[in-house]
Amino acid sequence: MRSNGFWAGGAVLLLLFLCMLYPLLAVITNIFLPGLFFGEVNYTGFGLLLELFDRPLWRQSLTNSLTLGLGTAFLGTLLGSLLAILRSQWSFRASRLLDVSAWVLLIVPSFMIAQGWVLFAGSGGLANQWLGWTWLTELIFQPFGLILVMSLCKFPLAYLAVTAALEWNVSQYGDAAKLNGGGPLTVWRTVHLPLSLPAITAGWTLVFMDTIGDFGLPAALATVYRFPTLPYSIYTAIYQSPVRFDMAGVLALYLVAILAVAMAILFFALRKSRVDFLTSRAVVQAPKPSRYSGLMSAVVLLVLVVAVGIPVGTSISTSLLKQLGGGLTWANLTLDHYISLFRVDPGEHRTLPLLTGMRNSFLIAGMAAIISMALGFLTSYVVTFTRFRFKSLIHLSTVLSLAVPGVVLGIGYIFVWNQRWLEQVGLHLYGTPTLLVMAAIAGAIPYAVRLQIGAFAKIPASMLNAAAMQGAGTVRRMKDILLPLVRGGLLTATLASFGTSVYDLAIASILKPPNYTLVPLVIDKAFEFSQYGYATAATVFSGTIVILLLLLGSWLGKRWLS
Amino acid sequence: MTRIQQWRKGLVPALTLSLMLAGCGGAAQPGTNASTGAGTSGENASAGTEQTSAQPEQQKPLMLYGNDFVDFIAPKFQEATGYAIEAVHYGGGEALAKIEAERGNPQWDIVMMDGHGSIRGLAERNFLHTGYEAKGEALLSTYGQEVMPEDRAYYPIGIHASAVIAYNTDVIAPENAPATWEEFFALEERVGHADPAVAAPAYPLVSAFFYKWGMEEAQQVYSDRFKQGFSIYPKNGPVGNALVSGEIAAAALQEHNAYSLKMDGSPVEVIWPEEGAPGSLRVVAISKDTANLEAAQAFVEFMMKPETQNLLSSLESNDSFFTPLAEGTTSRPERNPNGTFILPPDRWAAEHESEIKTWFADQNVQ
Repeated sequence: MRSNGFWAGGAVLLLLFLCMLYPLLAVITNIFLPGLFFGEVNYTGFGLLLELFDRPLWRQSLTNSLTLGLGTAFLGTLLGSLLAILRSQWSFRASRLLDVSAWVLLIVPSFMIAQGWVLFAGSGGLANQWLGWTWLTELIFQPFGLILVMSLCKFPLAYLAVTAALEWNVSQYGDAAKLNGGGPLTVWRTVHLPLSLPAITAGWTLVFMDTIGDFGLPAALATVYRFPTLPYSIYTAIYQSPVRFDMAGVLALYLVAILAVAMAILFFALRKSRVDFLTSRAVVQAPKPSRYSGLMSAVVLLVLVVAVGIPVGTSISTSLLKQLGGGLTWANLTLDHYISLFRVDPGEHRTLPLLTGMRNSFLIAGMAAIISMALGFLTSYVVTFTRFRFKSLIHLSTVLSLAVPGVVLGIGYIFVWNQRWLEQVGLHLYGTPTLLVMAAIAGAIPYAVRLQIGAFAKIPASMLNAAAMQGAGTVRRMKDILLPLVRGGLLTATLASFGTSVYDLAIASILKPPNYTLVPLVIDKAFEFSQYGYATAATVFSGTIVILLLLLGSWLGKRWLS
Repeated sequence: MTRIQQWRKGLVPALTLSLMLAGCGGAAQPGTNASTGAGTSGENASAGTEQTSAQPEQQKPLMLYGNDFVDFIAPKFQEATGYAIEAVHYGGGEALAKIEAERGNPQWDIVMMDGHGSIRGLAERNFLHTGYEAKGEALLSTYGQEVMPEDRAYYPIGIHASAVIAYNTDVIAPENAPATWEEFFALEERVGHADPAVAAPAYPLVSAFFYKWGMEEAQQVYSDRFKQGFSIYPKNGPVGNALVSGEIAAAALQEHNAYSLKMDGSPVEVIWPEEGAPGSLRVVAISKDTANLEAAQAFVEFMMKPETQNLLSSLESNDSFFTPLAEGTTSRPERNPNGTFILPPDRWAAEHESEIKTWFADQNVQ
């Protein structure tokens, strides 16, 4: 007995429309009706759409994006799935560290990871200077190297998707296969693999989508190796004179099309996953002890050292060096970069004040996290428990911001919200932090929704039906049944939304109000002007505070929940 | 507009989005200073700028978009004239993108940035206030007069080299160093410069060669160079890093990056070719839609004063590597005092911008 979810679904769609769909549609409409949002009607046709295949840069960008997306999806999913299987099947010491690191990688923006890699593996980098590893530059700055770095950055998406699916122990199917004479490989191939395949496919799709829309990592690595991708070409279309918003729209449209194909694969996988394998005999999977647990810890630690240790370690090292090229000596160590974070130097645009940036970023991310959590809750309810007609549109809208670069959304926001008539009705949000909050919600929604849908999926609809039979309305069912059951997921979604919103660079740079400093701008400007010490000190300091805030939030949340 | 006003302005509509936003009202603290948003550095008043006692009438603060100096100069201007001003620092491309995206409802009053071609492009598409003859015209140097446009769509205030030849002295011996741009492009070793599609100063650099050699010959020079080994980096900072690390032996590098590396003790030497260095003209222009015309014109006059330009060219920061265009000004002693510039006419630079950038970007991936 499912409601049609008209009101809840309508509210979700309206909010997603305002934050995501409307700005994106504005940029896409601009392809064939340029100037529409400036009050001009000037139809130019769809000829520009085919230029993608004419211009060498665009062709190359499409090829590079697909190569990077497919390669990273394959390698990242392989790594994430293997680690998830290891984590759920056996107990070993590094398992908790693996969970924490996956979250850290998910939250830390890719441009920071990339900058860590550039400082480590670039020709003037630490690996070259301190260890003499000249081969590393050649290994990293070529297509396979980029796929490798990207995979080490994005594998947590696959890891978390597969870990969630392996939560339940369904050993009876495996036991049945063994009783029928199946060897370990046959059992794995015919039972375990098909059961976890939908989750692996979901992980693959998420990694693919997040990679293909990523501007930060390829752009930062491009300081050493040239590898134009679709987001890069969008950037160049927007930052040329005369500005070509129409070209940016075309490229964004192709990204959305690629995303739609990936989503179709995801839906197909999830539909297949409706194999009702959970029975009353299913128990929560308890990791088994293994005599190889030491080896497992060593392998996991090795992966984490490369994936987290290198970029983070490089940032920490750089933040403590007087001169980047000065080597690791006592005389070259300093805390000056950290001290300079607290020095206010008005009029200096290279080293913006970090503390002001942190205050603003935390306020915006905090509000975005709470709203995203509520929106994610409502979205998960509509998607899981109602027969709302536009569920597919909701699904697509909730992942759009993974693939559409922030700069495109930013331009869309300006088109939509910088209208004269909005000034007259008091809704002129352009140039106010409110627009940043909306943009941050758009960025956090994929995480807020995905993390809650998983928790919702475990709740049988019969519980809600029983309450409805007793006369409980929608709000009461949400408050008294759903909320207590999914509060753990709710907390995780809020914290993840906060973490991802703090460092959203593209949106911050295009939509920030005048003289409004934000953390990612502080870091990006310092990097742009080669103030590496300041940039890395700001990264390390703000990152530590964010992690402490998340731990505090998690601790307080758990106390409150218990 | 202060942050408080910004928050308040957004608060009412935000409430319609979610009750949660009500919490942000707590950010508003009554009594916060509502002066310039560009910083509060009132203590080091600029030398030579008179203080105005009367507070001019303004409905809203002057909005300045620009790249270099904007954060520094805005409080100085407010102090000297009494006009309230807000300055937003953008990269050149970002500023132009914002101006275009705001076309339906412009928020800016003045733009001050490098690249007269792009600003001419704005003028051609009717974005700029033209025909205003500044009093400061008489103060312009001879070169400044030469590069001032007839329609007064903008005023030039300074020029710097968007590229000089910088080479790594550990890789190239001084006697083998290129002295001309032709020698630079013919070097056997790997060379590089910034990407004109991304870095604002790189279009003046590339367009100067296309203007100097003609479109076809310049395309040939670049095509040959791409085959021989040519690295393109997004911005000048990474070009400098690549030069110091030896990844490239020589670079066409923006002058302040080049001189800074030399002054820092890096193994870098700078050559200003006799034929000239590609010039990047810094200009100031007023929006056609400004509601603050009087204040905007006061800003233009302020920027054209020799005192203001001397103040900027004597700053310790690297931005001060430029040639001021007011008579009786001085520039930094580390620069070549006799260095000349290759500067295409603004209309030529505007007309060919899209063509050159597109050709370059496509060539670069082949």
